[in-house]
Amino acid sequence: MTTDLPSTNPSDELHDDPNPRTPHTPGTSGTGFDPDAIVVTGIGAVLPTGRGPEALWSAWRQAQPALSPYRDPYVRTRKISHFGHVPDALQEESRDSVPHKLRKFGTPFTFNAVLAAQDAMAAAGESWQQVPEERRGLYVAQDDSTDLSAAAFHKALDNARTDHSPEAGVNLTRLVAEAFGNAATFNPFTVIRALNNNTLALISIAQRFRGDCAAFVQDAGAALGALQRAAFTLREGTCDTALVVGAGSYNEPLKLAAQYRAGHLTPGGPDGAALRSFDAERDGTVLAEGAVALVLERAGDAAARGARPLVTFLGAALRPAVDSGVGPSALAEGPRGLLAEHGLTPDTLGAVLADGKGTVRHDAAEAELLRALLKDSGVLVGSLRPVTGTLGAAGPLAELALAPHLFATGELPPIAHLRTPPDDGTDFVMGAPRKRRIDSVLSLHSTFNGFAGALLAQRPHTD
Amino acid sequence: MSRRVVVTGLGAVCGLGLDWQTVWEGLCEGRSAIRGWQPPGVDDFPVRYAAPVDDAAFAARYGADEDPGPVERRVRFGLAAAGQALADAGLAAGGDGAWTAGRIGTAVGSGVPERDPLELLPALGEDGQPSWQALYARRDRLDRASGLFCTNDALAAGIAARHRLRGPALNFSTACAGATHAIGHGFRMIRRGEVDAMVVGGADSVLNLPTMTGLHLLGAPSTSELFGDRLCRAFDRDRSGLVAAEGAAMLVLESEESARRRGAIVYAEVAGFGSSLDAYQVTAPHPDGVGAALAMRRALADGGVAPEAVDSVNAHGTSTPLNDPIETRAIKDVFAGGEHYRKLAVTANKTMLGHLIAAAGAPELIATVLSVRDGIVPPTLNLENPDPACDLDYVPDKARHQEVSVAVSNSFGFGGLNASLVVRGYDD
Repeated sequence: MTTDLPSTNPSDELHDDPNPRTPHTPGTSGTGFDPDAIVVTGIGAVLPTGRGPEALWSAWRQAQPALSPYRDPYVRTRKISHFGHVPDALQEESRDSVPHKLRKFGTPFTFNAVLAAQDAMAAAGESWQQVPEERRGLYVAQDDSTDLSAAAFHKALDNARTDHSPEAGVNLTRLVAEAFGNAATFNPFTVIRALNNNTLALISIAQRFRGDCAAFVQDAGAALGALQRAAFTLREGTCDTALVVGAGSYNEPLKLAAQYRAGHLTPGGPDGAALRSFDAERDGTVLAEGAVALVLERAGDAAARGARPLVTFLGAALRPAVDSGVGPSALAEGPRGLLAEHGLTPDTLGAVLADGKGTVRHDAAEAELLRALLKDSGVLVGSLRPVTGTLGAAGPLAELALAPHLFATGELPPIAHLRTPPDDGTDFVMGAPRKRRIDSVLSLHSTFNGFAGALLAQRPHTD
Repeated sequence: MSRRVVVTGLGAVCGLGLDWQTVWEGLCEGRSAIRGWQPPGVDDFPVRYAAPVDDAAFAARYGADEDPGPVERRVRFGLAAAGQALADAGLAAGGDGAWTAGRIGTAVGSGVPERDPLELLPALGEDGQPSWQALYARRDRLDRASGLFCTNDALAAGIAARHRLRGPALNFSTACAGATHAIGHGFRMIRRGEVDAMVVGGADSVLNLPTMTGLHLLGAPSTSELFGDRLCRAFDRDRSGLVAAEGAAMLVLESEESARRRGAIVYAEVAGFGSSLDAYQVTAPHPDGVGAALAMRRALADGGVAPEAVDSVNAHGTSTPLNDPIETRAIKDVFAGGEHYRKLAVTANKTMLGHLIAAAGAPELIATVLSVRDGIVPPTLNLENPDPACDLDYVPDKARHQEVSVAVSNSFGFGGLNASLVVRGYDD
């Protein structure tokens, strides 16, 4: 799957920015070609919006959420109203992309990751295949979902349930042990599937990666960690190309229950507008699943093989939100440091992609951060979250995958369902896409477990 | 910017002891933490031996630190080890400018959260089908240690929160190479100048029914009762599988400049890190050990260390039929020049510690660091009938006093992950 980007200027149909500013060309794009810059040359995506970054862009631009009523063969509930499911047909494509002998080790979201990786590598061009296997780095961000779920344990649990003890006790433990000890009722590969490096293993084998590697599990922060380490090893010369993959699914009974208990999930929202980032009537997030893969290279290497750079990755920050978990002072440390490191100031940004989970608490904290960070800079703020839901490990990569479209079209799509934004001076995009030259993008992220971060990207040098 | 990176703090909690000094003493004396074990509430589980942490002793020593307590065993162990390491390094929260400026971070390797199957029983509805409604209705039956409250990155978050570390916090999940990956990347971050110091290591506990059942069905742990608590027999002809363990180990890595400025005691220098992927099979290493050899070569090249300069290898040495001869082959390949492999003192700490899975590389790196500092190579226990395919000097039975200028520590994981670290003596 190739990345087909428009190369013309923004359409006249768009709403012109009332405060157009002088285009800013930060870093190397205005000063010449930097062969050591880290660029993205291939993108693959398997998301609720469909396959590929174009499907994601199209859904975002048209403000068409890909969230649907929650469904699962093993979990019946009305309390989980919506979910960002990968479409069934696409999920089948994912499974089919995995060599048959490897399928027993994987989970549906691992299969999504393999397909996204395959698409990203294809998009990077045929000459990319010439990179020796030993020089291909692989950095994976995986959700904390495991196969140790009700689905995996169904048979064992069913057997154990023949004991009708009201409380879990020694006898019940014994029954479970017997059920688990029987290979006929317990899939021996369950533990492999539950390993959080499962995605790394399958991609390395299916797509032939033998270079430097790492795997992270840290909610959305995992993708920031993976991007950081990938860029670092490319700059150090430890590898010649790096595939960064984020994948996961929140569709696991224990995770859903935990999020519901925490009050993070929307009961459904009015008019089917399930996830209402930053809106005064927001009432929770919608969890989702999917995978995004990005091929990273040094700009000089990409140029040498004739590859088209899609976006320059400047850096990422990931810090513990020590103060309160989502407190604005902690959240601000990452983006401020990141901007300063690259000689940028908030007012020179082309756009900010906010996290916008849609929970009352997270969005209030993020709105406060945005106000503190952007003040009266006039920088446009968008959010992908109402379209895809909360993606976990794939989330930050999905936003990086959209950056080429932002640069090419010069438009920032609206935040779907946003009618009453915070009245604090932050310029949230509402109603229709806003037109403006966009050379740099800052995307913000917080996790459910006390980490906060950001990533910074800019228009690549394409002479 | 490229800086030297030194070790200035150590912490360990495992079956062999609740502090690094006791653990090191045990390793040097050839004591084993492996003993008879069964999962809680079960008395005929086929895996009969493991190396658990002494719960009573741990509670007596660290119980006071548990308010408000973390709930998972691995997290409790990890926090205790991190606290030890920071205290050992002479670092106190809030007492250093670098601390508040975000120049100290953490990177840890973690296993999967503990998820007792019993917690899923309430997820079955009256018709026997899993039902979220049933789970929620019975939520009061779930204790705070259930999977509802556990996340893989809880230790990284916990270390950062407890010690108010405001630098980067990373959670690596690369199976049995997790801690070594975390240490290696922390090392790179300091060397590159991203941070001044990192609390690095790993924590894990697989000694629970579902995880051990899964491992057993994969054939990983030994079920033999032939050798009693001498079951972990790395490189021995009669080895029959790994012996699982639990615990944590943490190290404070610091730039040489920062350590000097503080007047910190330096144990040794971390010189290089290398990792690789086999791209071969999920459950078996490459038969030629090419991935393992690649990781060692990369670590040596990264540290600018010639293979001939290495005195000792702290082997992954799992006591599994596949790992030990393949690791031997990889070592012989890397150190083939002048048949240098014949001069190496190769040791398998797992014969005493058991296999700490995601945390395994951390206590083994501590042992490697102290080998370099003290000039002692701990023994490989239970090596009574060497496998003909394992023909190196594994330092059998008794620790060896010898100069160790440079040592390599290996960790390999499910999925074909390989990671190696190079440690050398620090001479200022």
